[in-house]
Amino acid sequence: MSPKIKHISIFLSVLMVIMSCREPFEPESIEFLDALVIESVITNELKNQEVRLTRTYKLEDNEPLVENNAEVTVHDSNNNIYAFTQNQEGIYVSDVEFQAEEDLIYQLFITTQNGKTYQSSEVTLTPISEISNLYAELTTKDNGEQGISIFVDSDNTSGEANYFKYDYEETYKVIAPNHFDFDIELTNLTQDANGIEYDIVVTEREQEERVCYSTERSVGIIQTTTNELNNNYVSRFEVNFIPINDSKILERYSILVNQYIQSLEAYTYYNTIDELGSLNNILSQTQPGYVLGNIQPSSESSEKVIGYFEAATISSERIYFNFTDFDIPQPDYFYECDLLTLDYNDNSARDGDINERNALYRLITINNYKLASGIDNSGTIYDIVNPECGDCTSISSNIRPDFWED
Amino acid sequence: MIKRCFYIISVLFCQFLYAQTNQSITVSFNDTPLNEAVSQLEQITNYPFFFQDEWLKDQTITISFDNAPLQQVLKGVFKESSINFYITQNRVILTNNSYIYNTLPDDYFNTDSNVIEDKSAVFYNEYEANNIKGDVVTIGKQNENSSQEFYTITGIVKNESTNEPIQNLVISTNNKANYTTTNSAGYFSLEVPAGINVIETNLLGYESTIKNVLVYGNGTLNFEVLEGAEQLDEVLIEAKKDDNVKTAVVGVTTIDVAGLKNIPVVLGERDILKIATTMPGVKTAGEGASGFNVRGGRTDQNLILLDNAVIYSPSHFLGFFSALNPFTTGSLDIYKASIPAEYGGRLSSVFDIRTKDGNINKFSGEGSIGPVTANISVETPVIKEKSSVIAGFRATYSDWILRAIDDENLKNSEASFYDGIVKYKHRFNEKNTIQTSFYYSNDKFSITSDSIYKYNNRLASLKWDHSFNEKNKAELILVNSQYKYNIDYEADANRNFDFGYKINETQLKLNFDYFHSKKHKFKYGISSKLYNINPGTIKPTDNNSDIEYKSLEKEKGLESAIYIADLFEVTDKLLLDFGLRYSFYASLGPTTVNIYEEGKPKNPSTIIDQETYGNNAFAKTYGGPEFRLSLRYFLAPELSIKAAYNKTIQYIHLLSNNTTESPIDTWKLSDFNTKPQKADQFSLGLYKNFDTGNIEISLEGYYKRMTDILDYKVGADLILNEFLEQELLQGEGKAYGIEFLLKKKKGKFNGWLGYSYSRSFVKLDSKINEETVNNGDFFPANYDKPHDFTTVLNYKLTHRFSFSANFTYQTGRPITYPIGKYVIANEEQVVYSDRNQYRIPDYYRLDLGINIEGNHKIKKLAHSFWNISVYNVLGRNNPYSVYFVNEEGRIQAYQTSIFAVPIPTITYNFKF
Repeated sequence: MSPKIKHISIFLSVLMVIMSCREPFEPESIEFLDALVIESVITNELKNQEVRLTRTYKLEDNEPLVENNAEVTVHDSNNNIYAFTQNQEGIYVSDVEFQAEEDLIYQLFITTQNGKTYQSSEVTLTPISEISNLYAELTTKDNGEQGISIFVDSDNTSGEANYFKYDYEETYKVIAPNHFDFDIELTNLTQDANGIEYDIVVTEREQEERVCYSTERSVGIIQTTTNELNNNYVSRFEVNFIPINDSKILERYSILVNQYIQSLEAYTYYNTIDELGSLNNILSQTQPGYVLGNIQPSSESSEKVIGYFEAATISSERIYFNFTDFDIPQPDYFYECDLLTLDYNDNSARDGDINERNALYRLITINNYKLASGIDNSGTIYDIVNPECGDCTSISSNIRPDFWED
Repeated sequence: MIKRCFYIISVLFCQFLYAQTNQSITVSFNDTPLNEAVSQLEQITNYPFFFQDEWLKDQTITISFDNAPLQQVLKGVFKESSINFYITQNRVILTNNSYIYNTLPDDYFNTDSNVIEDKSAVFYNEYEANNIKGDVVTIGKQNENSSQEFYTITGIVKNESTNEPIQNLVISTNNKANYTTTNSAGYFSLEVPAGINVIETNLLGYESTIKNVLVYGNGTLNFEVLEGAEQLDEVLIEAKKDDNVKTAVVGVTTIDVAGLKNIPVVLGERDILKIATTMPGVKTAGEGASGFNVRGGRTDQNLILLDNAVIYSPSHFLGFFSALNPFTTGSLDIYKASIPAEYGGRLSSVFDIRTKDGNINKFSGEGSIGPVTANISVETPVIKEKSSVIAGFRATYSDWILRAIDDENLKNSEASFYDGIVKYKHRFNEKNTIQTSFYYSNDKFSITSDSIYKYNNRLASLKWDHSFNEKNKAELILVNSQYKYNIDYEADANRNFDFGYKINETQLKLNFDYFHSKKHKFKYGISSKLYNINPGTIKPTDNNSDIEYKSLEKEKGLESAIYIADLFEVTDKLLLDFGLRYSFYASLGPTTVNIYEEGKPKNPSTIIDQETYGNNAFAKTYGGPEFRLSLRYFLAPELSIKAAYNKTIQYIHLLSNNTTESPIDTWKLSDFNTKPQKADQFSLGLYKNFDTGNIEISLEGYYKRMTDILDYKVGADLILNEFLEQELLQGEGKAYGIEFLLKKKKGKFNGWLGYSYSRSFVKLDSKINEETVNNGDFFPANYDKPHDFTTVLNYKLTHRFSFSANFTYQTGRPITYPIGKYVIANEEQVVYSDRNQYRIPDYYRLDLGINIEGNHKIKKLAHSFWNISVYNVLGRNNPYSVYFVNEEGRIQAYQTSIFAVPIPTITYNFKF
């Protein structure tokens, strides 16, 4: 490159960078809107229906606050009133099981603990459409990334269901790779000029710490519409994509997909919110704004309320699969396993390596390391591992879900 | 008496100067018609003579010379006539009763004061009042008995160097009470009071000429004016000098094209439209935003005309450069308030851009080489004195450089554009002139590696000027414009597509001018325009693509208008400009319209009927009268007040889901479900000139109401949407403001300073909740920037060095800012404030420039200068937009800024 060209190119490189300089920044709340956020779908499934009440939080904060002690009721046009009570997780659950029925009109009423009242507009149950097929396939993304796609097919015999919203719950088995049936406890710690001394007691583990089950709710709004398709049903709609190296599919994996049929208004509400949170164009932006839902303060007021109350038909389907069902390598475990062999008799750091007696004590008592294998014949050398690899309850739950099929 | 002697002496002196170069002539005339005598002299001397035939009509001459110098011969020949002559550079210029003087030494007239003191006995009283300096031309024969108060001076104004007639030049008396402009033949007719008058000429790019005239009767006065540019003079906003106080037009901005070279530039591009934004009342949403917001109007409300044809996207590379070639552009007038009745179809303004006429005498050209672009323009006569061609071409070499760069990211980027214009003008005779222009611009860029955007403008324009007689003239204009864009997406095997949009319009327009009398000047005409829009076609680009071919129904519309305007001079002080335009629009078939349930939100479930219309059937018609009224009243000779009321209707709308206009926005016609936009504007202004027009001050205020301006539901989907009406909202708008402008046009230190305080609001109210924004209250429009201060200053240090500075301050534009976060569907989202409740930080920027001229002999082969500028000297990081994106369930805020560091550029310009 001649010096001249180089100069120009440096100039242009700078130019390209400065011309559309996009940088992240920490936004500060200029003003904070403290508003009630309502998420509620009453479905045609007979169950304790749920209403989630939270509040908006500041841009600098990380967690929403739950709206406590509110009075929540749902009224139907047969003059039934269903009361809701807050459970331990802060979710309001109906006191009795009920299901949304066709031809009835439902309305949500809320009185918050500061005495403000809110009500939704009247909603009716949406048409029915069942998930006809839920299946997993190995696919390749546009960028070459391989993964397992979870597809939904849905029938629509009535032809009236046009707007579909999905959420899902993934449950996967977690097996601690370095689990050992026994563990060690350290007792009787004493300390003198020669260092520390303690007793090592080998105990049998009392609870299941090898096999666990993790459950995660889907993140984000997943919607589709059949409006633009000629055949009025959902076909091969991807609700989830799991990269092949995702540890979730290391062992058996299960996904429960819920399909809600939405009204056009509810669909539009969620779709708009979703669109406002996504990036479309680098140079220009979509017009943002406050999105009006169907819940308003009962009194004439311009107070902003976020959320939408729906009565929607639900169809749920669950599938299971193992990575071996596909021609893919086994993914790695969630964590790196830090397997250490420490000798209680090494009580000195002067021999060029660490004082293993001290390290053993520290790792077991402070870092919760677990015994990883049997004790060797000398009785003083222990294999230990970080808890994520030795005890699945450190990252998951050892309660086997009722639905689980192996 | 002394004055008169002095005059004669000066004539002799000048003639003596030229006598030195004379050859000896032997000739004799015997009752020879004067024009024949002149022809003979032309042959003998081989000097071209310039004159008008009628001056020499019906006169004969009998005289003979033997070896006499030309000076003496001409003196003898014209002794009996009213002809003056002037010999220069091997040519002879005849003038009728006027006297052309060359530039004289400054001290040449140092006896002026004495002369004036002694005048009283000689002339009319005005003489003293006018404090005349310099010499005096006499027009008409003095007649003691004349009772007439006014006489008419007619004449031709020509370019001294090219001898082309000069159009649009303003001729006025120095008290501005009387003025006129030259027509395309350079001809003018000016009514002046009897007695002494000081007559001035003014046109952008030309030196101002002043003549002292003693008027005894009707007569002729010709001017030859020097091109300002060749004099290396700082010519800034010379155009239409004093128009600001004289015309009845309120809210007009004239951009001085020649003066552009003095203004700091970004990336070496002189940009006419950027200069427009330094004037009060014309704004952009920010750097990198194309489109203008004029007096609180949306970006789609400007009729941007290049040689009478609409140019849909007048910018390159997303608005960073203007698509107009600065070398071929002759003039730019922006009408912000009083829009002449002949124009219509847009609410807020008319940008009337005209290409220069080519040089009909000699080949010449201009060029510039900058870091990103090169530009050249040439002009040449085709038939000398009759027809000429001007052509300009500009292109970037950024693409070539980008490819030469080793950086992997930049290698695949693309940003190239070019534009070209050709104009041909042919003068058949005094009465008929035809001009035709062709313009093409093309842009190609990719921001991300997977898609290439292309867009282009194509304009063709044909104009025939015909003059029936002195009083009646006509213009026939036929124009065609096309704008199209394309997105070529090539990333995933199964989603590759090609998306295209196209708009095409053809207009036929017939304008008439009728100079009824000094009091009434009429303009009237008709026009009709046919639109054809292909709103979008998407097709797969390869066999693997899952994209299905889709093409939206074409849109077709016919917009016609009839108009009449009268420029009525009620008294010397009061001038009225009455215009009435009646516009009519029909949405044409073939089309299928959806009919929605009244009072319900427009969505698929509220369609109650569909109607189908055949080809060219009227699916829906709109129309209405548009009043264009304005008046001017002189409070004092250089102080006037003006008022105007303006009504406009717009039948075409720009769909842009972004806060700023971008080249991939689409234009949509009014149809069954989309009503035309309408606006009413009231404006009032005060105008004052000082120092014989060198300093202009104006203060204008306006109030504008708009109805049915287009907006969109939050998160609307505008591309390839066959139910587009479901996404659109039509609301009210109101805008008001005051604009202050101070200009100093001449001198070593010149420039302008503008300030405006203006507001623009939108109201989207409906009984339907989802069609209501901000509770149905007025809220600030995206481009509402209340305070706007701009100054452009030039200082000419020496003939070779001049400095310039440009400073801009604007209130930050409104944005919708998040005022909290919440979780829905297990994901974090932000809750936005009411629309446009907050503002991005204020915008300010300082640019500096220096022009270094080459040596400046006037008659040099090529004249050149260097321009060095630094854009954004202060390195101000002016945020352009702020937005919030959901990344893995969390909200991340981003801000973009453009040109956040000082950008130096150097450009080489030359003229030949």
